[in-house]
Amino acid sequence: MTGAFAALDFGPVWEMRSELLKGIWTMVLISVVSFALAIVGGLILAGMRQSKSRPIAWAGFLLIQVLRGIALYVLLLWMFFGLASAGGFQFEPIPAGILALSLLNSAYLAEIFRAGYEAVPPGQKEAALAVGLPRRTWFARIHLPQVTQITLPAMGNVFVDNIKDTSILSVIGVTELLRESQRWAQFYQLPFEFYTAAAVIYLAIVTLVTFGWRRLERRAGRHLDTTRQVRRSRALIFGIGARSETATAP
Amino acid sequence: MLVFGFDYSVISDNQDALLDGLVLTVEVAALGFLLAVVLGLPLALAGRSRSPLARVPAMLWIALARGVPLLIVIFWLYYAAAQEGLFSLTAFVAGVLSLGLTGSGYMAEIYRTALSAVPVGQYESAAAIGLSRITAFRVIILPQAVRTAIPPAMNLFVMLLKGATLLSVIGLADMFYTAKLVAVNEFKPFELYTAAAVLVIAVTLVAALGAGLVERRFSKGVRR
Repeated sequence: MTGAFAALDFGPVWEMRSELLKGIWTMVLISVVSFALAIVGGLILAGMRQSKSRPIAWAGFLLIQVLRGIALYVLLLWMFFGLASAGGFQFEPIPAGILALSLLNSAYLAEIFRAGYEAVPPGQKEAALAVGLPRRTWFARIHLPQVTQITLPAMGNVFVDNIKDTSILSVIGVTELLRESQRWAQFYQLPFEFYTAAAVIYLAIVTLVTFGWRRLERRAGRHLDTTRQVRRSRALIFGIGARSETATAP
Repeated sequence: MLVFGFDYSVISDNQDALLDGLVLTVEVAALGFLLAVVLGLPLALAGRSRSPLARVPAMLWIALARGVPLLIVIFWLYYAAAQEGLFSLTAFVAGVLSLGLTGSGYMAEIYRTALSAVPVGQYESAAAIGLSRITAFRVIILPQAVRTAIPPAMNLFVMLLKGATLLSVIGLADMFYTAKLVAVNEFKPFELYTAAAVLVIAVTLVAALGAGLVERRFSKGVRR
């Protein structure tokens, strides 16, 4: 077994760096765009659930539950091979991938937003209104900053999962990092080298995003005296906050 | 749906093969989950250890398991390791292993949060009445931690179930694999993919709803 590694050859990986970089760029683009769309979708879904109209609230609840139960791969296959062939049209891989990703993640984000909205102590609202702040000011200056501070860690988890999930888009032919690695792994007959490189790159990006996100969290909570304790409790490499039970995304 | 002219016969003709595939997916997910549950605890404990010899490898493992996408783990175990002559696995074993290894990182985090949710007083009073560290952990701390760990663990199972659907890419004869074969032969992709999707979604939905119920049940009576 020790001799097996002697044959490792990472030269081709380095030679193909510009192709892999293109794949990374596609991945970044897709994750950022789909996450932005998922935030919009999540706000809409969370708003639906909070709605005073019973049917709308119910539809929101149902949508969130169903979307949370759907695997990305299943949705992609169905859209791409089932729906498209029945309707006699073709999906563009990247828009289809972005659509699927943002659809599924909006459900996770909706739950996070709802939980964050409810987690702000009611005394904050009562106190703000009691000192005579208009509702608009209460919402923008008192409520929203606290909601942001509470929801950011869980949002970070969804964002990281979103980045990792872009790898699944390779099955419908989006030339992101995994697809590029796959292509060159087959071309050079070096799956070990290329898949290992891909794994390292994903890990590096995820680590980078995690640390960047934690800075964001610290910034969002800079005026709160809990920040230091929070920071200490998150001292593990990958615990961007405790994973919220409602949002364990794949 | 009927706009497209839905042909049910192609589904009923192949329902046994499709259902066998579904069972296979659930099986792989369950075994992977079991592996994750077993591996997660020692990982979590090593991650809490004071000795860096135990802590650093455990933290690296967790970082790897949580940072590398499942699909890459699958490809790595199935294609890359075989090329290097390390080991060659069947699609089934590669699937269980990749789900279990990825899940172990998440499971370790779940155990970690659950263990730190046990109040410090419990550790202190266990020590005060003279229990050894091991006994205290076994009879006082762990039972309380498990209670907190069950709901997120259920969510992890749902996540692994979704991940298990990916395994047709390495040729595991699951439902999508069957659906694809039949779809190519009969040229009824819409019917077959829809049936497969609906069945898988039904299973994951039931699991997800179950997780939600368990979560609500277990958070009952817990003071926050």
